[in-house]
Order: sequence, then C-alpha cells, then structure tokens
Amino acid sequence: MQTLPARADDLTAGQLISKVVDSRKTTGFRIRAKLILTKPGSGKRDTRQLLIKSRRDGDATKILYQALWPNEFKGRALLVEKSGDGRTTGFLFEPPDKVTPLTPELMTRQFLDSDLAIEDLTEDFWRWPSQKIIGDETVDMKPCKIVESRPPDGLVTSYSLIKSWISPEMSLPMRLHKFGKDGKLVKRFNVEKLIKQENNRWAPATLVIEPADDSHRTMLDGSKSERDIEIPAEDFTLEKIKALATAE
Amino acid sequence: MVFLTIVGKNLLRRRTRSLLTIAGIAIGIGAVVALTSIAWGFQKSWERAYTARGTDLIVTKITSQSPLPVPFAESIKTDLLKLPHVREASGLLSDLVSIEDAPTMLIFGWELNSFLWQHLKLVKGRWPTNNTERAAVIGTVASDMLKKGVGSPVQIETGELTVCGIFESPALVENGAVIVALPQLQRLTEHTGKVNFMNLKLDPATTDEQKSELQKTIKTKFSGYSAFKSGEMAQNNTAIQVAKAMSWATSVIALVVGAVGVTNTVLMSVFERLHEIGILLAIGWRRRRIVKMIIYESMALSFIGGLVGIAIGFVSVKLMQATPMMRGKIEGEISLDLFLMALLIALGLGIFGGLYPAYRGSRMPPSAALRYE
Repeated sequence: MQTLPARADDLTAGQLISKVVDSRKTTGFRIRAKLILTKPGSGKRDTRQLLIKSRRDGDATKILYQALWPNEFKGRALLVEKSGDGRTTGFLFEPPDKVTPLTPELMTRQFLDSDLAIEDLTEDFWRWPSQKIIGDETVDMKPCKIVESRPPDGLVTSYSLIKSWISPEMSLPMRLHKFGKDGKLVKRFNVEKLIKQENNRWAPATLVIEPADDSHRTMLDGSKSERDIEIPAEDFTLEKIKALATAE
Repeated sequence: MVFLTIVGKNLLRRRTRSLLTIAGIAIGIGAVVALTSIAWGFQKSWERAYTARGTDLIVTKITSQSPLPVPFAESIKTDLLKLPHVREASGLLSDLVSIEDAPTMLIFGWELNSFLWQHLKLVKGRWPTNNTERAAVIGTVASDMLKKGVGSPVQIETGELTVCGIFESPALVENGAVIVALPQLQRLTEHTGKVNFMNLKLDPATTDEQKSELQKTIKTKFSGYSAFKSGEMAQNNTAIQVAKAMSWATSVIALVVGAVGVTNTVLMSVFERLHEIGILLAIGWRRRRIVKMIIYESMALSFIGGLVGIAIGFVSVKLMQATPMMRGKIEGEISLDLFLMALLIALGLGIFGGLYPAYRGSRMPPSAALRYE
C-alpha cells in the first residue's frame, strides 16, 4: 500500500532526521574538494586539495579523507569507520607511516589546520537520542525546522548541543551551530552553495565553517562529486592510503 | 524634411534629458554587446579548437545534466574505424579539475602521436614522449594561472606530474588547459580504458551529405552515442549554452531598464508638449502623423544610444581582454553580425519605448490639448 508523504509540519524530529539520513544513503561516493582557509582582513589564503571517498558494506560505512596538496599535507588521511550499531573507529595517518587510532584525545585536533576538528568529521550527532524540534526559520529562502541535538551522558564530545536548521523539502541541513560544554557557541557551519545531483537530490557544494569569534574561516568547496558508485574496499586499507603519500 | 527637423528640434529642446536617456540606452546596449561578445567568443573558441584539431566528426555520449560527456569504453574505436569514410579515430578524455590553488581547469588526455596534437605550437620544453611518462604540457594561459614553468611539479588529482612543455593553441580554451597522455589521465581520474570523445578524421573527399549519412549511421548503430560536426559540437556544449543563457538573462534586465528610460523620457516630452500637439492636430495633422513623430523621436534616441552603446561594448571587451586578470581568459567576438543585432535591438527598444507615449499623445482631443498649459 502506498502512503502519502508526511507534511513537513507533521514530522517529528526523529522522522525529519531519518529523512536526512535516508537521502544521504549511497553505495559509495567520491568527492574532490578544496579546503580554503582565510583570515578576514588579512588577505591570506591557504588551500588544501582533498579527496573524500566512501563505501558502504551492509550497515557499515567507511569514509576516507585524504589530503592531495600541498606537499606538506600530501598523504595525510583520516579513516572513519561506522558500524551498524553506531560505533565509530578509524585512524589518522600521517606520512611516512604514523598511524594514530581515533581516541577521545584526538577528537579535538584540527583537521589539516582548518576549522574542522576531527570530531566534526567523525561525530554522528543524528544518532544522539535527544532530538527536538524547537522552531522554524527560513535560511536562504528555504523554510527550515530547527532541531536541537544533545549528546547522551557519558559520550566523549566537546559539544553540549548542536542546533541544525533542516530544510524538509531538500532533506538537508542548511546550517549547524555547535555549542560547547559551557553553553557558548563554538562554531557555525553554513551551506553557501547547493547543487542538484544526477539523482535529483540536493547536496551542499560549498560549506563554510567559522569559529564563534569570526577570527578565521574555512570553506569546503566540492569541485566534483560522484555518487552511488562502488569504491573498491582496498582503497580503505592502510597500504593503499600509504601509497598515495608516496605516489608520484 | 520639415517633419524630421521637428523631431530633431523636439529632442534638442531638453538636451540634458535627451543626453541622459541616450546614456541609459548606451549602457544597456553596451552590456548586451559586451556579454554577447564574450559568449559568442567562447563558442568561437571551442569551434576553433574542434576545427584546429582536424576533427571531422566527434562521437560522444551527451547527457543533459553533465557539463562534460560521460566516459565510455575506448574500444568503440575499432568499430568506428570500420565505418565508411573513416580514416583515423583518436580517443580523448577530458575533465574539469581543481589543480592546486588555481580555479577549476580543463584537462585533456590525448593519444600520443595522434592528429590532435598537430595544431599546437610548442613554446618551451618538449612534448610527452611516452604513455608511462608522468608528464604534462600546459597552455600559456594555464602556465600563468598555475604559476608553473618547464620542470615544475604539478599535482593533478592523486598524482604528481612534471611540466615538460608549454604550448600555444589557436583556441583560447586550449591555452588555459593541461594536456597529458591519455593513459595518464585515465589513471588519475580512475577511468581506465575510457574516453569521453572519439575524434574522427574522414577521407578528404567525403561530402557533406556523406558526413550527415555517417552521423545517422553512428546514431543508429551505436545506441546512446551521437556524432557531431565540429560546429554542432560547440553549440551542444553545456558550458557554452550556460554562458549564452547568462548573457541573455543579464541583457534582458539591461534592456528593460533601457526601455523604461526611453518611455519615461518620451512620455515626459509628450506631456510637456500637449498644447503644441493640440495645435498640430488643430491645423490638420493626422493622429497617425503624431504617432509617427513621437516614435521617430524615441527611435532617434535609441539609435544614437545604440551606436554609443555598441562602441562602449566593444571597447569594454577590448579593455577586459587587456587587463592582467582577464588576459588570455576571455576572447570577445567583434563582428558585423553583433553590430547589426545590437542596432536592431536598440531600434526595437525605441519603438517599444515610444508606443505608449505615442498612444497617449495622439489620443488627446485637440480641444483638451489646446487648453493644456
């Protein structure tokens, strides 16, 4: 039997988040992106070229972030493995052969000296048990539901609250605000540009990450992406990750 | 002659207002000319690239959403070579990549020793020598954008290559590109054994009818594939279509602003001269003649504004081409076609902008118009 889609106003926080998570489900993807680090007013700009790959095996997913350029970062990689039950494992690789497993101490480290912390890339706050819709707001002319996510007791995270502005129409968060343990805003994530993919789903093409004090900003700019593709399992092995660091 | 003198004098009566209207039209037409010139130039550049490569037909798989055709197996080459009139076939893989700190650039993978290379002129260094050499040649514009010279390493996707040469092409799009041996790009983009264009060189004696027949054969025999002549290929290029659509969208806004300006000026002029129009009607002028007079005034403003605008547009394109930031990246098309098109648009603008004032002016009863001070 076919059921009518729920109206955006009727969705609970859980249903809305499921919609977002379901729309992102894929067998695998490859994204070529640029991380552009700037300091407002200084005119200084640093670029990192990135390759992001993902593969799904049953309920488990692997995501690999690899730096391609400049040479001082080339080969650095972060592998995040998420099992079906929500456990996250993985490691950080630094050439020539330093492998650091994902530990709570590592989570607050900046990724490639950007405003993205390792935990921003590993944390699955959509799975946190406390999710609540607290209001509506239009972001970039798109009506959004504001969802508050709070971590469960005992979870090691720097954040006490994450607010998401989710567009039910696009099943996409347009804005995230992350708050620290003291309740103060730590950083903001804003989707600046969207692209419609071949499967007619919307995806962020440009994401801007800024700390609360606006002292600097990181722009993650996806130059090219392929979805629903199968990335070979061997691409996520340490040997293959190491090989990129020495590739000529 | 007397009639045209009246039109001219009417315009000269409020010189500042007429000049400002001409300036408004000129800016609108200037924007149309500059944007269209760049969009047409972009298309011409692609046409030149396809023609200069010596390609008679280009076989590809075009999908509506992708800016570049989807890659397909290069093994199709064997079957294409069996078709009548086909003398040579050469695979080409192209992609848009973000290289180091530069904006997204075009990269081509060409079969070494194929006819595709013949139109390029080596400025410095040498060509890649074999398929396994991790080397790239870059266009003169690309060399500026990447700040790379011969011997510089360049990171392309997951691999580091060495710039072995710098080339110049008759087509601007190629000057801003990077070219590597086909297997190298297939490796870097993980498209082993794939290309997204197959360039066909036909027997020189092949007629246009035979080419068209061959296009149909390819479309029928190879499901999902299409064959284009070089001019057609440029027209089907998504980037060109986007550039043209953007130039038209901006132009329409500029033209609407221009039309409103003309209407306002002519309408003000008509309202100021209602008494005079009443006299003209009273002494026997027909309403049609009043309409003609007002439309002529409007067209005269647009004609002069159009001419000035065309000059502004062409000069702007030349200046943009000369600025260090844009040098080598845009190529405006300055042609008689564009001149005539812009002039026709300007005159159309004049007619359109004058219609309402002409209607208002000519519909006024002479008795009412004569009472107007």
